[in-house]
Amino acid sequence: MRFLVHYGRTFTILLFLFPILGFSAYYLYLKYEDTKKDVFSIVQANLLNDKHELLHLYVKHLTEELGKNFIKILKEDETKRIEAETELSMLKTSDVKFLYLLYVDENRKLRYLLDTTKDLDEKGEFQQRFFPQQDIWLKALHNKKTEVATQTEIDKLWISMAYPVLFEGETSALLGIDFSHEEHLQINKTLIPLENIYFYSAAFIVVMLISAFFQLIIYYKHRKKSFIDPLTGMYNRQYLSELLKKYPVGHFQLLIMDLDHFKQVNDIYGHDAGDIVLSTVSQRIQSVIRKKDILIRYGGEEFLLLISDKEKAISLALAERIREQVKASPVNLDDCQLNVTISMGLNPNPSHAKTFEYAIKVADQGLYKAKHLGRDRVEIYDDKQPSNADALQKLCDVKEALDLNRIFCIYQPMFNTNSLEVYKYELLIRMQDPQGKMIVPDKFLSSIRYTQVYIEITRRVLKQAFEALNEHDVKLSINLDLQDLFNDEILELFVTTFEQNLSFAQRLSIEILEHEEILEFELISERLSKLRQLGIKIAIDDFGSGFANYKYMLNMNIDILKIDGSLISGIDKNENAYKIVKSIQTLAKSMGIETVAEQVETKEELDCVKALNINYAQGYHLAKPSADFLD
Amino acid sequence: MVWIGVSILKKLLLSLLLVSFLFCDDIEIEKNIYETIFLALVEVEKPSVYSESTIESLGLRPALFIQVDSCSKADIVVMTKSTLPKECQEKVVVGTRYRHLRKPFVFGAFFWQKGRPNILFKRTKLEENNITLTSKLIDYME
Repeated sequence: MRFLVHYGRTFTILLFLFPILGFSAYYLYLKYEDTKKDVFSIVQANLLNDKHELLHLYVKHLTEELGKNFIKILKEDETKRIEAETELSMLKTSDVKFLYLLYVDENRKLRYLLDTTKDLDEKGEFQQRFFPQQDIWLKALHNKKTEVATQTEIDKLWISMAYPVLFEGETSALLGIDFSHEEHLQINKTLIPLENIYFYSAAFIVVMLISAFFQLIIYYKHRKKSFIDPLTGMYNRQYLSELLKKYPVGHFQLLIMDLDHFKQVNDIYGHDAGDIVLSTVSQRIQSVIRKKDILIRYGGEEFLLLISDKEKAISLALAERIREQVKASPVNLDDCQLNVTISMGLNPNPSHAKTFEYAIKVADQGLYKAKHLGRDRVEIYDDKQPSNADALQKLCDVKEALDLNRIFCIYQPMFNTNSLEVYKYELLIRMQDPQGKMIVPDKFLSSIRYTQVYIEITRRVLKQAFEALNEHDVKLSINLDLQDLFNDEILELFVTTFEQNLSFAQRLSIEILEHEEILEFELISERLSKLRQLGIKIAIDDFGSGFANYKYMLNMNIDILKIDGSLISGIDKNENAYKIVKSIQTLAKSMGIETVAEQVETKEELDCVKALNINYAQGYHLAKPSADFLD
Repeated sequence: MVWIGVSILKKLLLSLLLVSFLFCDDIEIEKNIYETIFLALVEVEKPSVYSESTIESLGLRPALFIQVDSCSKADIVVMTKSTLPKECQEKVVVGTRYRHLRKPFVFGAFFWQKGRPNILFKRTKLEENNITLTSKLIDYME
């Protein structure tokens, strides 16, 4: 099977085509040989018939002239012999090389009686022994019938014919004719056009075969090259595509691997160093996998291992071996050494997936899990668990919605509580299902948080924000999960989108949400400072609920606090809520942080918010989110 | 142009092959016949042979005879012309034409006639010199 992947279907077809064409050429050659034989047989038959007739007439003439005892007379009478020889030579046509009469002596040896040959070296003298090369002479003597032989070893002669001359029922003499080889050559010459047709047809086939053969060699050289990633020497995605045409989805277990913090390697040490790391790591992986497993460079720093085994335990052990091998020793760069680790996600049951892409997504989920849990580890994403299966389905739905532009942002206006003028707009993401129903982000974002689709959605949101800032004189606010700050790609998106347009960035704020408790504040601050450098303001969303607590105020340099809607809702009636909001407002004011009240849904709530000197408010009482900006 | 080139090349190759094969074959046969004749006529392990003219088959090696450059050194003389020097006539002379057999000093002859090899030994000459042919060659004695 792997043979087919390497060499493709075309090669296999040609493999059968070669002998077929070869046999065709050989068949043409055989056909030509048959035709040639047929032509020669016809010509030969005609020639022999003519001569046979002539010899018969000549013997009849001799018999009539000299009597039945003409052999004896000729032997004894030289004059008669000369006369007879002259007459015999009259039968010699251009196609006849030698024409002679032999007699049988008392010892049954053949001797010349007459010979019409002019060349003295070739002429047999009277009574000279005749040495037959073929047995036609003896056969003709014995059988008393004309015998014919085609010469193959004598280059001057073509056909020899032995015609028995009978006397009293006994063969007393033989008339011999040797046909000239030139006659043979003449026929051959006549056949040249025919021979050329066969020869050129066969030659054409052979040339085509040779040409196809070399084309194939070149093609497969290129084909093989196109399957190999030049940097690492491993197979590439193109090879994977070919492979997937031949193998079913469940043939391999899938292990997807991603180098940890590779972007930093490129950023800090340069792309050359990154290339060395990639090359070294791929070699290390290759050194511990088995011959039957296939390593593919799947993306930038991503590798995919197709494991030819059904046992999950084997794959896990293999993944562990890879992990240990990668981090076993630092990678040597020109002037330093670099410790490298790798995170992996295993899909042990790809057969559960309908497509290979889906199976890869399952492995990807494991990889993101491994990244999220601290990297340098192997994680399995079990797509058989209902929740996971559901999540995967959601991922596919979201991907589809993204591709079909059914994911977009609407604008929620935020008002200055004193002037009640619009201060800014919060971008709220929405997904429209195929039936047209709007889905809020809580229902779909959590399941795709660690996937590439999530990054794509972020890219889409930033694009829309950028266009809005470019086209309208508004301020905007974007929601971002705190986890997103750990994602280099997302951070990079902000930088690349706004670094050339800092005036736009200054009209943008980011509202940070938190779903899981994070303690790496130092890292978060470092990341946030990059955004602040662009001029982006930082807000803490849903403050006062869940994980969003005072630790963030303490550890993060923030500009805005957005007080959670649960505290604002009914604030006019709930004394405790009022007190908490008041303390938040006091604290924020003392720290120079602006405040926003969300979910303001009644006039009373707005009055309370105003009374507490909260800077901004948003909610259905003021305005509902809309696809357009307010006039 | 290409086809013409191919055609010429084809003809050239075929002719060369044909000629070389035929040529090689005849020459080799001829050498073998000469060897048989020489060894039948003289009782020397490796007879020395002198020929007035160059006979290609006599030059083929390896051979069961050696070629020498004068009659005096030769055990056998191969006659190629119509006459032969006196000192050569005293040797065992083998002719290369049928007519050579008429010469009294000729023991036998080997020649091609009508594309066929002819071997003949003169009975009288052999008997004079007490040469006995093997049964294989007796048939060629006249």
